[in-house]
Amino acid sequence: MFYGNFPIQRRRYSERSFASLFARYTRVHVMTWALALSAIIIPSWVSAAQETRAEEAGPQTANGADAYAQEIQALKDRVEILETQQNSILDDISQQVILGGYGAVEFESFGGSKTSFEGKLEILIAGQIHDRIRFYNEIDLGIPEGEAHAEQAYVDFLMAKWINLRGGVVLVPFGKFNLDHFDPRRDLTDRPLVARQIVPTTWGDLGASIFGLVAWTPNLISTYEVAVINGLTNDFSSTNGGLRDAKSPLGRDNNGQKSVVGRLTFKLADQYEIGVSGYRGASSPTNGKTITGFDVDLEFKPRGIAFWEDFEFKGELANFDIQGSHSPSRLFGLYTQVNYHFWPSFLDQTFLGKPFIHPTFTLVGRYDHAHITTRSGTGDLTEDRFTIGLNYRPIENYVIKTEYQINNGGIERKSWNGFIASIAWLF
Amino acid sequence: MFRNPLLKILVLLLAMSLWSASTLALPEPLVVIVNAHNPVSSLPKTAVASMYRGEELHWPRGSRIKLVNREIGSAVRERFYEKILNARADQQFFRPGTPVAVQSLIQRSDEAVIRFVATIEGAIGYVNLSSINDSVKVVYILKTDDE
Repeated sequence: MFYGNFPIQRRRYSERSFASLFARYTRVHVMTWALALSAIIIPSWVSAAQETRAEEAGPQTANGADAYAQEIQALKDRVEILETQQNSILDDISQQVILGGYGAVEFESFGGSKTSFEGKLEILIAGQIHDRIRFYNEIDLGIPEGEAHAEQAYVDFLMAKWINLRGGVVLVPFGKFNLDHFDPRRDLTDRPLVARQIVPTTWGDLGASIFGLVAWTPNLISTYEVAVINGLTNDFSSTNGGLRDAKSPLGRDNNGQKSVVGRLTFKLADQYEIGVSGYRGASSPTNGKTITGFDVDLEFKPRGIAFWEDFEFKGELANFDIQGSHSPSRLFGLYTQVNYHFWPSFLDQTFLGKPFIHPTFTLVGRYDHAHITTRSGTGDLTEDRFTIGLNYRPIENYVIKTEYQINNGGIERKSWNGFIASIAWLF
Repeated sequence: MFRNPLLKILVLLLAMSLWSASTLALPEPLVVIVNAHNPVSSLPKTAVASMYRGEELHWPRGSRIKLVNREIGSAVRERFYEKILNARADQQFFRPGTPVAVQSLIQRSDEAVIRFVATIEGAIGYVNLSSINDSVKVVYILKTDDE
């Protein structure tokens, strides 16, 4: 054995080496494969574990936070939509019934009579039965007369902008003042003579009317109302011959013949308004004596013209002829009024100005005239009145008014001059 | 502070341009918006005014017009009332022949107005042009040079 131990040894050595190498090789391979496998498996396992943890942990990771943020935003949006819908429903409900009112307390001091406080309180109930059917009631609680009555109580069927139907106790469409007689809206306490003795404001009557609005051009708008009512009676005022007492008592017609009354207006550029009204109807229960009347009203509110836009001009003229009557046979009256709105800035920080957005003083000047023609022994009655007034409105629906009247005539205040003040409010 | 004279001039120019931009800036256009489903595509100024005065009560299809207003004291309301309604921001409009005020719903931001108009089909409102988005339809634009 040539190789003796050596070769054997060598071989052994070699064998040992081979085995050793094989073993090493095998271990290396196993380890390599294990490492390779672990390199593949572990990261995916770690990733899966991380995802699971992320799902479990939620907002602790970026993805989860985003998802929650989106979810919260969606909920916020939903809540906002619900709030909006709720507001709309509340708006609908508020349109169903509106409860309000207006009142006034007046003080007057005239040479020929005792000083006095007077008052007025009217309750307003308005609303919608349907989008196209609305009602309105204005109940005078009877201060100081002591007897409550409906000044207006009607229902409107809103068919189209240009034609609508009204029925009930309607405010007679004759003259602007009658349709806008509300104390808190006026700038003087006392109504003009023409609106008391000639046109018997506040003039309401049982009947039905059609009314509407027509826009001829973007700057020219017309409104109209034509009513059929029971009409004026022949109960003319025993004291001064005016038409105040001739108003229908909201009962059955005294003569069975209906009266027709209407008003047509033109409004130009939202600044100039002219209204024309007409009335015709029988008054007497027996021989049907006819009353015919007309009225012209004007209003000018300059806008966008420096200085003049603080002014307001208005006026009204009315005439009634009563067929077959001696006392009175004709009634005529007019008024013209200028309002000047102002506010001294030095009052801004006082209690008159500070808490309000647009407090306003209004200086008012008015001239009134009335003439009642009679064929009786008393002769014609006339009265002229000059009024100067100042009022303060911290807000539009509350006003404190003061005025001084100079009278000359024989119809209402005779020739007594005097002072009037009032507080009026609307809610 | 500024050692470089060029830098000084630049800063001065920047300040002047900022000042002039702020003093000469015109108010942004105001837009009248309706719900995206409203078939009305445009309205003249007088029609918008007629709605807010309570003269026009219904949309052509017959549903009630729901007026959305901003609060008294907001600049956008002041402009809308002055330029569209020819009135002061606190002026009330009344049903003819009654002292009942025309009702409107008050929302206190442009976003709230848009949200309301976008949600409620019969609604109409007004906002600054920069506030609008696709959820509403613009039917009238009061441009600055119209004023």
